[in-house]
Amino acid sequence: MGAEDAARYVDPYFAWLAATDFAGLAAAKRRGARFPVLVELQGTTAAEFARAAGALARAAPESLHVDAPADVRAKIVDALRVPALYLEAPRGLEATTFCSASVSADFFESGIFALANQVLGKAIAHAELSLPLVTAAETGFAPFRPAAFSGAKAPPVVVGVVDDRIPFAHERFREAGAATTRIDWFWEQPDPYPRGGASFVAPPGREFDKSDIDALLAQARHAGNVDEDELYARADFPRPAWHRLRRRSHGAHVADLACGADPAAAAGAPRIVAVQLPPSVVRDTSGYHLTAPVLDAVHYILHRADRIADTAGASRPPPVVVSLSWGDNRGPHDGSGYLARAIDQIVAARRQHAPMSVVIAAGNAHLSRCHASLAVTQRAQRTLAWRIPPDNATASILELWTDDTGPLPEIEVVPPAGTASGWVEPGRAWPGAALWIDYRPTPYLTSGGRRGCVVIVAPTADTEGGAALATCGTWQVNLRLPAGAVGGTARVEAWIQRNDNVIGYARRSRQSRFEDAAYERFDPGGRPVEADNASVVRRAGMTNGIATGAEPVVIGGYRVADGAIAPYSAGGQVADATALAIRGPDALAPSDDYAAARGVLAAGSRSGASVAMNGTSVAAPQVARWLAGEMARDPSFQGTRADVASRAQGEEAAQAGRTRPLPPRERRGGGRLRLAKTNRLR
Amino acid sequence: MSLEAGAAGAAGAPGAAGSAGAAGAAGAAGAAGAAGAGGTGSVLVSDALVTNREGIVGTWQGKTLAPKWPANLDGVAALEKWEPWVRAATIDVDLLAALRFAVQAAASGGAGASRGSAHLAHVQPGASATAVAPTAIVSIVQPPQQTFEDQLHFLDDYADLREDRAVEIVAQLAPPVGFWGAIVNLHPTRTRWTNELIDTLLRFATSVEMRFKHALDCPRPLAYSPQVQPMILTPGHGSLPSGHATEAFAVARVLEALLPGGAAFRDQLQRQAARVAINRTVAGVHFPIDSAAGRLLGDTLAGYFLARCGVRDAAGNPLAFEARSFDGTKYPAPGGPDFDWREPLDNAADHHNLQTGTARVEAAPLLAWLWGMAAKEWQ
Repeated sequence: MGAEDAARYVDPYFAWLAATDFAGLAAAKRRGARFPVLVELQGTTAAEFARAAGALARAAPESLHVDAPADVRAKIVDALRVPALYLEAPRGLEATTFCSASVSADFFESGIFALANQVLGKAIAHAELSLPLVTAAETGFAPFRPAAFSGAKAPPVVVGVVDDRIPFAHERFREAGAATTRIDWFWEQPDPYPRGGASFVAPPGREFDKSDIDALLAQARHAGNVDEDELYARADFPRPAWHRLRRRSHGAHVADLACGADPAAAAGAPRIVAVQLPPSVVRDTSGYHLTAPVLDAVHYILHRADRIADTAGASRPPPVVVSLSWGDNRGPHDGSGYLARAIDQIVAARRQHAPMSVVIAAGNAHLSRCHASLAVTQRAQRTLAWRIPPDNATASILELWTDDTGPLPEIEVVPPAGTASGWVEPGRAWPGAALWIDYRPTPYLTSGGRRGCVVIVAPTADTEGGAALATCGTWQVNLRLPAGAVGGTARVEAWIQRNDNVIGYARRSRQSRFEDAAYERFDPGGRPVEADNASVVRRAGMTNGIATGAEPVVIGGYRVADGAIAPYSAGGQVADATALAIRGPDALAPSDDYAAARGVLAAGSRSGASVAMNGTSVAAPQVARWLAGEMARDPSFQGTRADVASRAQGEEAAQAGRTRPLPPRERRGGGRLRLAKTNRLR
Repeated sequence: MSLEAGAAGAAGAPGAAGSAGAAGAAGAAGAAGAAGAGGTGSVLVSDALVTNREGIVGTWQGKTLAPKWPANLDGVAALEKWEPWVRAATIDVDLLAALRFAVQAAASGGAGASRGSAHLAHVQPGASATAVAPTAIVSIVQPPQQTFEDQLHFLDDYADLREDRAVEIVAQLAPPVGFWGAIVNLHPTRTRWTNELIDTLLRFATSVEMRFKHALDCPRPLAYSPQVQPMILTPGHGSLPSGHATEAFAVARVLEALLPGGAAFRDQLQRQAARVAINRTVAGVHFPIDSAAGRLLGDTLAGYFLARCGVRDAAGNPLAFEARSFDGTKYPAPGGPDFDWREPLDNAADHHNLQTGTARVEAAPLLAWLWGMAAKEWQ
C-alpha cells in the first residue's frame, strides 16, 4: 500500500489494519464490520451528540447539507452510531465530552470523517480506534430496562468492578447466608471475537440484574447448595461460555478482594455493579482494544449506581468506587491520552455530587525493558535496539513520544535483514508490508503537549496465513534531528506495547524488548536490579498508560513478609535532561505474602475455591475495598489521591524499623498501606 | 542335599507377587509374595521346605486330622477363605452367565444412518433359554453419524480447559478410586470388602461397556479431525458409550445405596461422576453424547447390579430396577446439546433417555454375600 493510501486514514492503527487487510482480525474482514472508537467532543455533550448521531443514522442521505455525491452521502449516514448508554447521563456527568461510538470502516477515511463531522456540527474533536465489532447491528445493548432493584434503603456505597471472567454467582458476592446476591447489575460486554469459528454469531452484550441472578440461584440450588456449573450453563444458554469453567479467574480474584464477603456475615457489605470485559479484549494485551469498553463500563457503573439510589428513594447519588486492574503502555503517559482525560473529567464532575474514586493498578512492567528515554541532539544520531522474538503471532508495536515544544526527531527503522525504511520526517508515513511507521499529525499522535510516532512490525510467525511476516532479531530504531532544525534537544520517550499472554488464553504472542549493553538486569548476587543506571532503557516511567491522569488512585504492590516493594511494581519518572515527567502510584498495597508464597489468596471461580495471584492487579482492589469502607463510614470522605497518599504516609511513620529501604517516591507514592483483612477470604 | 543344589537354590528367581488377577483386589496378595507363598514362590524356600521335612517327618502315620466338610455345594461361607482374585473370578462367572447380548439391525439407512441397536438382557442361570423370556436390562440405539459431526466443535471448545484439568485427567485415567474415597471415606484395609464390591462392579461395567462399544463401533473424535489432538492416548475401543462415564455413574449409584443415609452423598457423588465424564471431553477422547449414553448405561447397570446383590427396599421386598434405553436417534439436533447430567433418565417417550419398564431378578448368592460383607463395614 502506498503512502497516499496511508494518508487516507485518520487513525494510525486503523491505517495499519487496513494496509495489512485486517490480518489477525479475521472477523473484521466480514462485510458490515463496525469499529468502536473513543470520541472526544467539543461544543456539545455526550447525550446531545448521541441524539444527533441517532438522528443522522435515521436520516435520508439526500437530506444532508453537504456537497458530496450520493454514495458518499450514504456512507456518511452509516458512519457513526453512539450506544444507547450515553443518551442518559449519570448524575454529575451531564456535561461530559467523552463517549464511545461504533463506526464503519469508511469513517476512518479522512474525507468521510471530515464530512460526517461537518454534519454533526464539528462535534468530534478526536476519535481513537478501539476494538472492532462483528455485526453492524450491535451498538451496545438495548435501552435500559426498568430498575429492578429491591433494596430497602439507600446503599452507603457502591463498588464497581471491571474485569475479565467475573463469576457473578459466586458465594462471596451473596448475602443472607448465600441465598441472594449483592450484585445489583452485571453487564457482560459484547465479544467481537468469540470462539467457535466462522459460523458462530457473536452473542450480543447481556445484562443481568439482581432479580435475574436471584432467580438463577434459586433454579440451580440442590440439596441446599448452588451448582454454579449448572447456573452458568443456564445463564449462557444456548451457547456455553467456556471461560467460566476455569478454576483460576482474574475477575474472581480481583472482585473478591474489592467487594467479596463471607455470605453469612455480609451485612453492611457494599452493593456491587460488575462489568465483564470481552475475552477478546482481554486476550490482546496491547491494550489498543481497551479504551471504549472501559469508558462504557465506567459510565454504566455510575448510571446503575444512580438507579440503585433512586429506587431506594435516596436524594443524592451514592458514593462509588471503581476498581480497574487493567492497563497498557499506550499514549504519552502524561495524562493527555483520551481515556486518561475522560476518567479525569468523569471523576472531577461526579465529585461535585457524590464521592467517587477510580482505583487503577500501577502495572507490572517495571522490569519489562519496554521503556526507553533518550535525548536527541544535533551532535549525534541515537539508536534504540528493539529485539523482536521469533514465533510471535501478533504485531510488535512501538510508540515514540516527544515534547512538541522542542525539535522533533526524524526516525529510521532498520530490520535485521531486508531494506531499511529510510528517514521518516514528522508528518510523513512509511507504509511497508512488514514494517509500518506513522508519524502523521493525526489526532491520536498529537495528544496534549506531545507528538507521537507509531512503529508497527508485522508478526514473525504465520497464523491464519496471508500476512507479510517480519524477520525476528534486533531491529534498530535510529533517531536524529533534521539538518535544518533549530538547536536544542528532543527528549524522546519510547514504549513498546504489551504483547504477552494472559493466563488462560492460548499462547500466540511473544513480548519484544529493548536491548542495551549498559542495562544491568541482575546484580552480582543474581537478584534483579530494580534501580536505573545510565542506560537509555529505563525501568522508571512504566506506569499503566491509562492511569496517568490526574484523578485516578494508582496502586503498586509490596510483599507483606518483609515490606519489600514487589520487583515488578511499576512507577513513575522524574523529569530531567533526558526524560519527561510521568506520574507514579499513590501508595502500595499487598501483592505478595511471602517470597516463597507469591501472591495473595482470594476466590477462585467457584465457591469454595481459593487461588493465589500476585501483581499490582491484586493490590489495587484491596485499596478500593478500603476506600469503600471509609465512604460507607463517613459520608464526607472523598477518596482522593491525597487521602490515600496521606494514609500511607501515616502508616509508614507509625512503623519505623522495616528492614528494606524504600524506593524513591515515584515508585512508592506515600508508601505501604497495611489494610486490615476484614472479611477477607483468608 | 548336595552342595550344588543348595548353591543353585540361592540363585533362584525371586518370589513374584502372585498372578495379579483382577484389578486392584490382588494388591493384598503382594505381601504374601515376599514370602514366596503366592505364584511361583522362591526356589530357595521350597528347597528349604524339602530338606526340612525330611529332617522332621518321621514315619508316615496316615490320617490324623479332620477337616471341615462343606454342608452343601456352592456355599457362600467359603468365599471369605479365598484370595481376592479367586473371589473375583468366581463372582464374575455368575454375573456374566446371566447376561444375553443381541443386536438388531435398523430397517434401512443410507450413508451415516443409525445401523440399529444393541440390547443387554438377563436370563436366570439354570433356566432354559427358550423357556424363559429374557428380562431386558438396557439398550443403546446407535446415533446417526451426523450427531457426532455436529458435536465435534465441543472438542475444540473444551480444549480450552486442558491446562486447567490436566492433572485430574491423568489421575483419572485409572478408575478414580481416590476421588470416590475422598467423598465417602474409603480405605485400603478398613473398607476392604467395599473395595472388592466396587472392583466387582467395575469389572462388570467394563465387560458390558466393551461389548456395547464393539457392537456400535463409533469412531473417536480424532477420526473426524487432525486438530483434535487429544492430550492422552485414545484408548483402543469405540467412542460410544464412554467407559469412564459408565463406571463413574455406576459407582455413584451403588455407593449411595450402600451407605446408610446415602442420599446425603448423592449430590457430590453425581457431580464427581459428571466431572470425570466431562474431563474425557476436555482430554479430547469423547463426545458429550458418549457421556450421556455412558451415564444412562452406568446408572442402569448399577440398578441391575443392586438387584443381583439381593438388596431390599425399605419394605423388605427385593429391589426392582429400571430397565432403560438410550436412543441416540432422539438426541436433539442439530448441534446436539452438551452433556447435561441433570437431565432425567426415566422418560416415557420422545427423549433419548427412555425407561422401558421395571423388573426384578433373582439375586446372585455369591455377590449377595459380598454385598453383605461390604454393608457391614458401614454400620
